[in-house]
Amino acid sequence: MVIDIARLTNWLIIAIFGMGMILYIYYAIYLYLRIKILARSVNTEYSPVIIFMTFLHLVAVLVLTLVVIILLFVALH
Amino acid sequence: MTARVQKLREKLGSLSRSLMLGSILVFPRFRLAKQEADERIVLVVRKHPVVLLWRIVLAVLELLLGFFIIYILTSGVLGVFGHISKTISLSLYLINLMFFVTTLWTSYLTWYYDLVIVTTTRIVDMDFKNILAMRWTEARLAKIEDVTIGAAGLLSALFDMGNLFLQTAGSRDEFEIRNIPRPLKVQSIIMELVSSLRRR
Repeated sequence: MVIDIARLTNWLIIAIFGMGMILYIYYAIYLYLRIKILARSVNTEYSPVIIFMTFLHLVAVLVLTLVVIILLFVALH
Repeated sequence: MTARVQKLREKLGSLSRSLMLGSILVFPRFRLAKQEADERIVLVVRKHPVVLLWRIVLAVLELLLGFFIIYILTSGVLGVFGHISKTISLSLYLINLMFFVTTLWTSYLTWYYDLVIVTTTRIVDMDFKNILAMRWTEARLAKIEDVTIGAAGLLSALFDMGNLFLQTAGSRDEFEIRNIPRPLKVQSIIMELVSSLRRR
């Protein structure tokens, strides 16, 4: 059986990036939920702004993940 | 109660700062989730803005270090990972930039929500180690026995910064907030609130 090192390396790179991005998305979702709870506990006139900014952060992480996946496919195929 | 609150408001009015970036907020437009009907928030204390500034400086250093490491690894200068394509290195640069945004935003949030809230009846301490690990402690103002302040170091002297410790009766929990601005003033406000509550 011949092991294709180049193909294996490609899959390894995809796996590392994939796991990293999944953890990053998990963190961004957790942060958003935590801030929503905090903003309700200590409510100020800026609470909606803070919640919205944290939501934007989550969206930015999701967009980044999409961009990184596209870039990886371009690079590896 | 209203007369006492009005008296305090007149006395402390000049201390108030901006809600988003201020460290000492007097009678801010805050609302606690479990706030009693006649309870008013008198004082909200955060860490000194210098603490936030320091975190921003560290985040910028991390960003630059990240760019440097990615450049070294992907440009083939050291002869390692020289084969990595420009598209993958672009991904790494983008991820590093997003980490920077995340660090900045979480630093601000940690600073923003790391509060000691003094109301007309109780004191609440929201303590953050990081944004994902917090501790919420509260005690009745009447139970406060000692209000201690401490300061050490050049930064404390330069920026009038110090640490505040509150000891409550019958509890081993100690309220602690580090690097607050104008600790003497904050100590006197809390002591005044406690003593006026005891006089009633």
